Amino acid sequence: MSGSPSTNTTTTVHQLLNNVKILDTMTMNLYPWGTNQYDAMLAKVEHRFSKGFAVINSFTWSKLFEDTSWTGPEIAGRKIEHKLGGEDRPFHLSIAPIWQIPIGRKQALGKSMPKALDFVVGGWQLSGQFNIQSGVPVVFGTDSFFSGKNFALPKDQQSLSKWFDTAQFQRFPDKSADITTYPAWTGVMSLPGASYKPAAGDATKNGVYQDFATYIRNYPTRWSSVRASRTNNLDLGIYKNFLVRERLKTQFRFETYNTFNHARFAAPNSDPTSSSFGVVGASQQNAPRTVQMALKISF
Amino acid sequence: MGTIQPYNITQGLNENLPPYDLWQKYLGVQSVFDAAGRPLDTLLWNTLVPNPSRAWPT
Repeated sequence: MSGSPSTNTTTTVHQLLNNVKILDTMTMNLYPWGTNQYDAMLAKVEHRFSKGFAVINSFTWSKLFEDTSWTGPEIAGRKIEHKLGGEDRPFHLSIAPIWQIPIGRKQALGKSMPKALDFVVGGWQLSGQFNIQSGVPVVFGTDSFFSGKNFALPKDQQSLSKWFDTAQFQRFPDKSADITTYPAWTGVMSLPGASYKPAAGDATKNGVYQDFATYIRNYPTRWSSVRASRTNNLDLGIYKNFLVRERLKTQFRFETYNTFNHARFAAPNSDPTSSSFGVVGASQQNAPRTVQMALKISF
Repeated sequence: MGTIQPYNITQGLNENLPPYDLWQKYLGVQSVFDAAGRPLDTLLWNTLVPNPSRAWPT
């Protein structure tokens, strides 16, 4: 035998409580279990090209559930959490139109336009792609006190520095925590050991911190109402074909990506023990607005 | 909470856990305070004891 369980002079009590005392964790992999469920309503409206206009709209309303991981410590029982999927995005709307602007010779407006003017203002086409999609649920994976109240903030109160109501969570006390400042809803003052008054100079500031060693989680890790920022993106393009000569075709394109420069941010910090709990990092996840012009010549 | 179902999603499981009642007993509330209400500096769960496995042949 080798390794610390067989070479150390001392060991812990919990090591000796293991079924195989000389081994620590024995991980069994390839244990097959888990399920997920996706339900959706899909709607699509398509207008085929007529009178110079075509559009494709698609809308998805969906829900994704996952039963693929434990809740609480494994030792307290292998309970699978029935939770929202990590990629649950309830709403997705996509609109993609194309429009041939009816200005120019042989068009509805400016039929008798001089050729030179038609060369500049006639025959333009517009195209676009708009996508708006819900953000993914924020994962609250760190155990803490939770008030049980809805902690989603209304849009007008939500900011990058406070994405949700952090007051509904309270970190578990550690050895140095002063529990007298804890809100009453945590119930921490009714725990055995709460009345302990630390002596001067004692590093142990409360008599309850060890109670949380056997904490078994009883609230979900993902919430439908608290999500990372959504995708809201519009790409636009305007282009025109010129026939300079019969065998010399030219296309001018002007395109903008993320036209309105909507930023998408990462998920907020969801660890109640962190000093940046509830804060969204101010770094843009999607590409900022891009403008591009191109001239394509085919011969 | 669901029950374990075989859907071919794999996950590592610790197969060497102590029984739940011992986990509660040695880490639980009843055993970790002294008469003054002060928690023990070391939980019974983490108390160091002589290692009976040490003499095993290598």
